[in-house]
Amino acid sequence: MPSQLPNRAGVSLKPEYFADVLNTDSSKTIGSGLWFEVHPENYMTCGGPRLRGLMDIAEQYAISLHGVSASLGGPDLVPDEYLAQLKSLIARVDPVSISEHAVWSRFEGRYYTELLPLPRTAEALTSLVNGIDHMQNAIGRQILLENPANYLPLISEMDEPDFLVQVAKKTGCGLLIDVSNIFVSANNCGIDASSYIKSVPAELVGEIHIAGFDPDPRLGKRLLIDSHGSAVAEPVWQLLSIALQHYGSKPVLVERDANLPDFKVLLAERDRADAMIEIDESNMRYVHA
Amino acid sequence: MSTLDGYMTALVSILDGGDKAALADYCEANTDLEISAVYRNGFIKTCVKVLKSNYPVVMSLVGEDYFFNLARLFVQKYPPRQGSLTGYGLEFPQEIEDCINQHHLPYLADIAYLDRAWVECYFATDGPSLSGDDINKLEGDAVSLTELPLSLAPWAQIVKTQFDVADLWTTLKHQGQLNSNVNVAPDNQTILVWRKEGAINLRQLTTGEQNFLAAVCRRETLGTSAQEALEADPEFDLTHYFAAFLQQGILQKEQG
Repeated sequence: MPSQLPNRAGVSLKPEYFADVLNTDSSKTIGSGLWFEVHPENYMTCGGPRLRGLMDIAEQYAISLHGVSASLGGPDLVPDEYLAQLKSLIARVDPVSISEHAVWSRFEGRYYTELLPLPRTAEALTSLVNGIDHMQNAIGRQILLENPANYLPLISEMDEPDFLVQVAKKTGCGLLIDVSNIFVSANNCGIDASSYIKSVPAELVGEIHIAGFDPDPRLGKRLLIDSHGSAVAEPVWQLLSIALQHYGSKPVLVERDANLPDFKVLLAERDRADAMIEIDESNMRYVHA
Repeated sequence: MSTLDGYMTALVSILDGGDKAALADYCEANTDLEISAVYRNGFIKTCVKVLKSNYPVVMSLVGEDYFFNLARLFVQKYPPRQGSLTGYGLEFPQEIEDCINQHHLPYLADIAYLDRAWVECYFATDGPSLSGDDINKLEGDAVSLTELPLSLAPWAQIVKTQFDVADLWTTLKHQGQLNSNVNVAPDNQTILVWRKEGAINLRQLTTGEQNFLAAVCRRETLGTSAQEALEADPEFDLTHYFAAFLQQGILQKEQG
């Protein structure tokens, strides 16, 4: 499995939380198996306080790099410049896991900032496999691939779990199952969330995400948006329970990218997720001492 | 064109503000294509959010609504090309300068250039600056200080403004709003922006300092830089200002 995250719960780390993390009594938080995930794009800088802060935290906690811009399923391979920046960041923070999304976001030299969906076709599968192969070869390690949140029902040749499992088997990557994305996709596109979760073999799953979502301002609950801007909703906690029952103990991340709450509030959500994971002390060996 | 290319072209057209109809060929029957607006809206929202983050004082000065309009037009003209958006919006100050007939704030571009300098200094590479110890070592090695080649550290920027905006920018940067009137008058200023110990600082340069640092930016020696400063300002106190630059950590020894 390409992830060496502990089977404990972690949280998204934003620069706004650096002082909280660095001022916290780390003997308690490290012992709790807490780990952090960041978007590498926010740290692909030449230097400066933000990068320094992440490097300081990485000396004490396990870090996961969760990319949002590689555009693995896009028409062009991941740009060399991006890969060079990613490799530089990997060398600086020594992440225990690297993940990306099963989407595309670059087209004809432009970056569209959105996690754009791929139709689940043989052609898209080949494009995604090529993108993952290129990235894994470039960075010299396996990645985890996250299922997207879907808003549009694209004409497809296979369902999403089948599509992702085939990609994983062809590339050797693992899967990052975002339970919230499954909930959002189920709401928006009419799939069965429980069946989706149970269709993915446990051995391919290296990490689970949970996050908050919001109704579309115009269409309301008919279209749920994967906003990461609110607390995790109860139905998602229920799906997490199903996922952990099916997959066994896995690293779980509470994602939060907007409307950031007090760090203690986020840690409380994290502790709820952590309590749901069956703790296996043998998994703690990967946590930085 | 393959099916996948056709689909991507159709979705990108929507992201660029185009017609949604072409996407129907790639969606299940009776799909509400208005849903695709979520991608267009998300794209614009993300780009504007980054520009707000990188130009916070411009945003404070013109307000959310006007900034959104400025930013949206900018995104259409200069869409992102890199996955990392930390430095996005390099051309924004120039765009503001070029569209003065729309915002009628002649000093807005100066504010944007200072915002930009803050970002450039904040994310600049780390490294050692020239220190007093370095100077003492050179003296110990009997190297002529006047022959010491200098350069401006990457975490320092010099901004030339056409209005006296330094106080206005500082107030808005730290308070987010003005609690009293700040007069802004035409005045050519040269402002040093630099990072030290993680914090970004700003101050106006004297005529002598301007000329000294202009020479440093050309990677001249200490002797040449000092000579140019003295030609511009015969009262230029090299010992005082050089010590200040060393304390601020904005100089580096030019390599090679």
